[in-house]
Amino acid sequence: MFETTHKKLFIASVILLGSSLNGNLQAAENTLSSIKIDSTVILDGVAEPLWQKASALQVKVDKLPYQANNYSGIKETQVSLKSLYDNEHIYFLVQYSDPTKSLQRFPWQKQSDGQWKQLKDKDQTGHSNNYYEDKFAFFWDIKAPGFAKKGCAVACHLVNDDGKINGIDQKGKTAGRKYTRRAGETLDMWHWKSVRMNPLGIIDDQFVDHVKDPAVNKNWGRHGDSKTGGGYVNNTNKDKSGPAFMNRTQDGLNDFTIVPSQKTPFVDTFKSGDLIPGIMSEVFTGSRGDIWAKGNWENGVWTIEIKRKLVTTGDKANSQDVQFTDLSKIYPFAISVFDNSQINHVYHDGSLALSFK
Amino acid sequence: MRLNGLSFHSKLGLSGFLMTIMLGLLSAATLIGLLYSSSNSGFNIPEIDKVKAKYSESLLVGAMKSSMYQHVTVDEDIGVVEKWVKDGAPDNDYFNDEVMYIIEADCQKCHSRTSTMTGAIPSMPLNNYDDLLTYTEKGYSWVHMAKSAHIHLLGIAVVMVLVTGIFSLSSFPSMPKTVLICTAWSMLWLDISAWWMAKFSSVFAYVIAGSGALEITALVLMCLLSLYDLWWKKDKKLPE
Ligand code: HEC
Repeated sequence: MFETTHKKLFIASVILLGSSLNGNLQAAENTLSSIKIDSTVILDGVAEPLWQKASALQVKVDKLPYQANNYSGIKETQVSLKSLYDNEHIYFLVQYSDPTKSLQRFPWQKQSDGQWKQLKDKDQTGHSNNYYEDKFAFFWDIKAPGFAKKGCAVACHLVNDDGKINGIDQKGKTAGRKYTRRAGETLDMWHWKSVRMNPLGIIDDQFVDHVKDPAVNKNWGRHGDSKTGGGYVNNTNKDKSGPAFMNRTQDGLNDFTIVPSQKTPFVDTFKSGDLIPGIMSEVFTGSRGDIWAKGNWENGVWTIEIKRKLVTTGDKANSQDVQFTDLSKIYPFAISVFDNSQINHVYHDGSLALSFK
Repeated sequence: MRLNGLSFHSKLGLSGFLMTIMLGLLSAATLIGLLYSSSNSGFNIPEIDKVKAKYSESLLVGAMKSSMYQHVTVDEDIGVVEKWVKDGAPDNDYFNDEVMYIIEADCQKCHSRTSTMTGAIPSMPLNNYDDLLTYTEKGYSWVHMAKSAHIHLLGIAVVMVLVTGIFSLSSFPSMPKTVLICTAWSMLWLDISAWWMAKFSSVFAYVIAGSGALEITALVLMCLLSLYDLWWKKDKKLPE
């Protein structure tokens, strides 16, 4: 009947109203659960079936610290995170879409006149957004009040209206600096670099402390963990007119750093337009190289597998590394994606939490 | 004219309006809940301290306790800024060493004329002493208050005259009609006047919260009852 149609219409509207309320009631769940396993993960940038044991935490990263005048990278992506652990190690699986695989980090290019030129670009802060590399980063709370609440923002300091940070002129030098408030407050920074470190299978393990003066440390609060060797240096000859070394097998497509096994003195048999890596990398030894990782880009998606000891040892491990000593605790962290950019990155507000199951 | 005597299409049109108003009220309540609670998602009950903060404290301190709380690193920071404002916001060492230290670390990222960070507000810089002084007046500044008050009064009045008008045509007895219509209008006046009174005593924060809640409840009730009347209460043959 007509009457019942009216009633149905009305009831349908009430349900609609109710469900919009319901949407509001759903609390955001920001916890990544690490699942216990008794086999080991193979780090190859391919997610093996073992990962199906863990459920993914989806994190949208859609904020940028500044608008670079030549940035054409992603402004938003969804990161899927998974975690597993065994008696000794913790593993992470990171997956996110990035339409471009960017590896040409400041490469040398042979010009038509036979000269070599290093390809570079600079935005208004003096940083590259086009000839760089894809990167991914974690921040872990070691001991920084406010991190659990605000995430990366506790350590993020951008230039003010006078072009200064902490009263020090930074005009044209940077968009921002990282430091914590007080001595003793540190964050663990895992900086995965697709060109400089991925071929070697490690992450650049760094940390952030309270230094807010470039006279004390060029990078302010940002430091590499203690190392006994390894690292990366520019591949430049004495008079800076070209590369000093090249790869033994040069495919010109994938290897944009020169690793020791490939390193051979530069001999110019190249043609115009050919590229040679602008950087050379060696595995870090010591605390700076104690996180293993392998990333693989396929069909517009980066897949990165990461492995670290639950508890690290060594020089200053407790102030430079997050220590997963108590598996009943919650460990706050935050993540960010760098799309071919030196310092610009897409991030999320607040922090995420890791718990062990 | 009676609501339940209206044609099907008039009923349909009015129902659409009434439900839209309820949705509007629901979003208003959600917004209030978010602004005045420590959570930043979901549907929340406002906390009275946060309401107090907004209406009986300086915009600067009030914001740190409410809408900007998520950017405050540790709660003690609010006390530092609060003390400075209580002392009359002087341009002294305490300001430079303690207050500005916090503003620099936690607020300037967004509150800067040149910031291009996501979520920045270049129109409201907190770069120096003069910038900050703009936000240290107790309670809403008179200008800000007058701006908000006239928008609220004029906007809500239009909604209210329509809702009370529709409700007055319902077939409910005279008494509940009178009560609901009077409640809605008087709570609106009480609510807005309490915004100003809260500058002088924080007790009025309770009046703001109470009258606001009653106002929304009265409006929602009138919408629901009118809807009920439109579709269900068709039995009585035009009384009186
Ligand atoms: C992520 C960017 C961001 C940060 C960080 C931030 N603000 Fe804001 N702030 C805003 C925006 C956007 C608005 C305007 C809209 C609003 O009220 O949410 C605002 C508004 C305000 C207002 C006006 C509030 C009102 O009710 O009109 C004050 C006061 C304020 N902020 C102070 C601060 C202080 C103090 C800090 C540091 C503890 C801070 N903000 C940190 C973005 C930010």
